[in-house]
Amino acid sequence: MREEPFGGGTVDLVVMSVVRAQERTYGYAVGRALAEAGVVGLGEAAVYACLRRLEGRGLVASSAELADNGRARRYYRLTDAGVAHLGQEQRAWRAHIDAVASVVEAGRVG
Amino acid sequence: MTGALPGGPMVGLGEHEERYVAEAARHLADVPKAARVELGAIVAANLGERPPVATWDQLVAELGTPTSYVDALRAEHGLRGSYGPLHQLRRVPLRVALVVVAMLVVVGAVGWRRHADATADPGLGSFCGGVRADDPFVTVEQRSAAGATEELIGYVDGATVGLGTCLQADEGVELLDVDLGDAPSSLFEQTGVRAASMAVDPDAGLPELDAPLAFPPDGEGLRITIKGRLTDCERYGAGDGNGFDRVTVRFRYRGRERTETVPLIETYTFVSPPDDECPRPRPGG
Repeated sequence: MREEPFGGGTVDLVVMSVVRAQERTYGYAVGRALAEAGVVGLGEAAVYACLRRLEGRGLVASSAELADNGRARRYYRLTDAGVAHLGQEQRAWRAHIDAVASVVEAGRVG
Repeated sequence: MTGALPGGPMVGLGEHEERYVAEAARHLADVPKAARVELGAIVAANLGERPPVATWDQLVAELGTPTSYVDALRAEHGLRGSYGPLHQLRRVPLRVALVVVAMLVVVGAVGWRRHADATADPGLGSFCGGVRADDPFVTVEQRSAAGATEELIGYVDGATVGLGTCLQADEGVELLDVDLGDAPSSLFEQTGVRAASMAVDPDAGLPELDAPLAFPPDGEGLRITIKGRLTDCERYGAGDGNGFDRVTVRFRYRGRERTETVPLIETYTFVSPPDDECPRPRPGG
């Protein structure tokens, strides 16, 4: 049994996918999008840490701006390297899901 | 984007968010300093971007306890469990550990006692920032790159500016002074230091640090404002910057007075004005 619902690769995949979908977004909005999509077990701490880690790898870039409430907000977008990396990860994920699905379907009950 | 904050409130967190950041920082006390600063910045960024909450319970319901939050951060950074001395001992076979400990006790105890006070790590760290300008023409622009945040402060000759930070230290540390170090020809001349507990509202103004101020035992830290005056623009070309990314902290710990350089969570950079806004002529100008 897995200790956590998400491994590091899956966290990166879903967070980068949200950043890609929203084009330009910030940590809290990423967390909200994941929660609203029903992605459970991935808290804001993990999202923010993931974004920092991805920025350190050059897969996202950020800029800090002031929001309407006067607070600083750091906006993220995928870099070109991030888009390429996300494409690879999504293809690998799709292949993994298809493989698992074929095994599950073969042993389907009822 | 330019975020001018002339004379307005220091950009900061609400009461419950500040408490959350402080409690999270306390749970990071055993993490190596570099990671502590990095993770502290993540907590502060998260709390700063969330919509304000009305109650502490609401914040905990939405975000989990500070302990669980820090645990998640540790997991993301591969920092599992405690990083204190006991953790290190647990990784050593018991028999070996006992022998080593006994040898240390016999051979090194006296020497350790002599030097412990001078070398003990007081756990100093910075976990918040912000700029307050009393002059409405002073502009503050925030920008970031590679995870680092920089506050660009537009120069207005003679204007008073307050550079904010929060310092954390172990119990038993008394704060004596905070300064920006040696800057013989800076655009910013430090004129004083103000400090108070995290419970004090910075909008109400912090008192002068004119006597030793003990860090609270609960690890919540102290709120600091370094006050200063913008000056010496003639020493810099138009648009040149002069930045500060650390402070020198003078403190008393275990009966000894010491100083330590503490990296700030964000860099403060003063930007020299055009020639026609610097009241004194520049060389060759």
